[in-house]
Amino acid sequence: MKKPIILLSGCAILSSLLVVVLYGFSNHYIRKNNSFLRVIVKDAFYGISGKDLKYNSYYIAGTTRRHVYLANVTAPLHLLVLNTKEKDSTGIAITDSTEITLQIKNLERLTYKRPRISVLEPYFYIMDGVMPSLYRGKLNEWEADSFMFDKAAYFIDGIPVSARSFAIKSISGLTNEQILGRIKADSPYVKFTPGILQKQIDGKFCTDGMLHYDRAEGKLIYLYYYRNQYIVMDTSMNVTYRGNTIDTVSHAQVSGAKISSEGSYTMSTPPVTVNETSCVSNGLLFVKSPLLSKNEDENAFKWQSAVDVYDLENGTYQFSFYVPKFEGKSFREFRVVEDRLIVLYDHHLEINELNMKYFSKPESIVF
Amino acid sequence: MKRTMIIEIICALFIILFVYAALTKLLDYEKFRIQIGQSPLLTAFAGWIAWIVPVTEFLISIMLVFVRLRLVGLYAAFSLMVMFTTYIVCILTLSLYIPCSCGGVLEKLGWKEHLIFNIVFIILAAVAVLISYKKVKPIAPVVVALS
Repeated sequence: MKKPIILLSGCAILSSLLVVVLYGFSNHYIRKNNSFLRVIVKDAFYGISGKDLKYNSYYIAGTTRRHVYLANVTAPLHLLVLNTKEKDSTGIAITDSTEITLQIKNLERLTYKRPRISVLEPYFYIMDGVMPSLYRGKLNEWEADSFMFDKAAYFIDGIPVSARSFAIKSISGLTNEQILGRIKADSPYVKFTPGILQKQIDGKFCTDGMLHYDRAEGKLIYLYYYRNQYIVMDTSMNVTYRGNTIDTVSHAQVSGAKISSEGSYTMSTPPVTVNETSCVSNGLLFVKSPLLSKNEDENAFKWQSAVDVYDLENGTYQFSFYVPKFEGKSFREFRVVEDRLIVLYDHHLEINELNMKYFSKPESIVF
Repeated sequence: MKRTMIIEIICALFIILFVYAALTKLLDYEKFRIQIGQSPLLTAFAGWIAWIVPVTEFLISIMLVFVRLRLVGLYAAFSLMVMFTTYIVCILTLSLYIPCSCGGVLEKLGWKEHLIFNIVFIILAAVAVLISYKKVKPIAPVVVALS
């Protein structure tokens, strides 16, 4: 009776070992890109308030200094508004929250595929780029009305730039590649601007990235996911300059493939993500990067994630800071509003106060 | 219930599982190969593994059909299930994102259900191996070539 047990345990150990070794190899292969340096600031912010959101389907629709607007991908008309009060004498700000169900005026039938809510004071917008539609309503009234409906275009991602114009990322009908453009209230309603996104591989995944609007500076920013570049534009999408993030991945490492049985186009290998998520505020670009730098400890990312800060005035790297993980998970999204750093984890939100000696623009930072 | 009967039932379960899983993979091979490539664990070996996994599943099923090869087959099935399970554990605990390409309805299982499902099959294989030693003498000492 001994032999089969030994044999079985042998099989079990060998098999699991094989898989673990495979994992070790591929993990090493993904993380090896590190010939750059980070300047870490240790006291960049301190926590003031946190809230459990119960669900992991929330995303940040918008933020003001006093409010955080959280929308939910599974409940498209639900909005959770967090109100942050000023710090009391104990130094802790108390947060209360209001749940809001948005109304849509004159709606015969609600047809949407992928609605996203976006807040830009004093309005909130409901945008759907798959079933093209735009709705707009006033904050605090919470009733949206169809808006520039006939001028809508298909888009992947859209952000409000002013009360009557949007910046969008779409797929060009001509080249079948990603393209940036604008939707405006006056003619020509939809205008695409080719040439901003530069194709490296397939023009679909290799150019994918995040679109931001810095209201204070009137700048549009596009940051690639898979290469170390961002593009700074004015609101009419004229490129001011192209800046680089600190890592060395200048060429996107992605590959796409068609699955004919599903009629879909998908990634065929895990991409090397250079810029995971980002935000802009007051002329600064904040980028969460999953790449370890040369001067960081192997285990630096075990309990925390790195955020790199760039000055959008001249595209220079300023410094980096760490944001701790929450329950073992790295944050999904974040925003900076004035002196507030809002960090969204899986199902938890943290509001932090930034140490403004690092983040106020005019004076240069000396280390 | 007789021992042989229990072994036969367990073998039948494994055959159904493996043939089903292998067929769903091969029927949409293109999709399977891409999904395997998306796995953070297997990127570099995607081309090979996309073939090896379904072929192994078929081979084990064939082994389980023949009484003479059954014991080897059970060891192999056991090892394969341990590999799948380790893979799941690795992916769940260590990886950033979790793809799945088990094929067919198995893809619809959540990761916890998947884990339980796999562990049940590991136990079944172990049970079948152990009880087949009790009565019938094994054919020959077995070397598991799979792992």
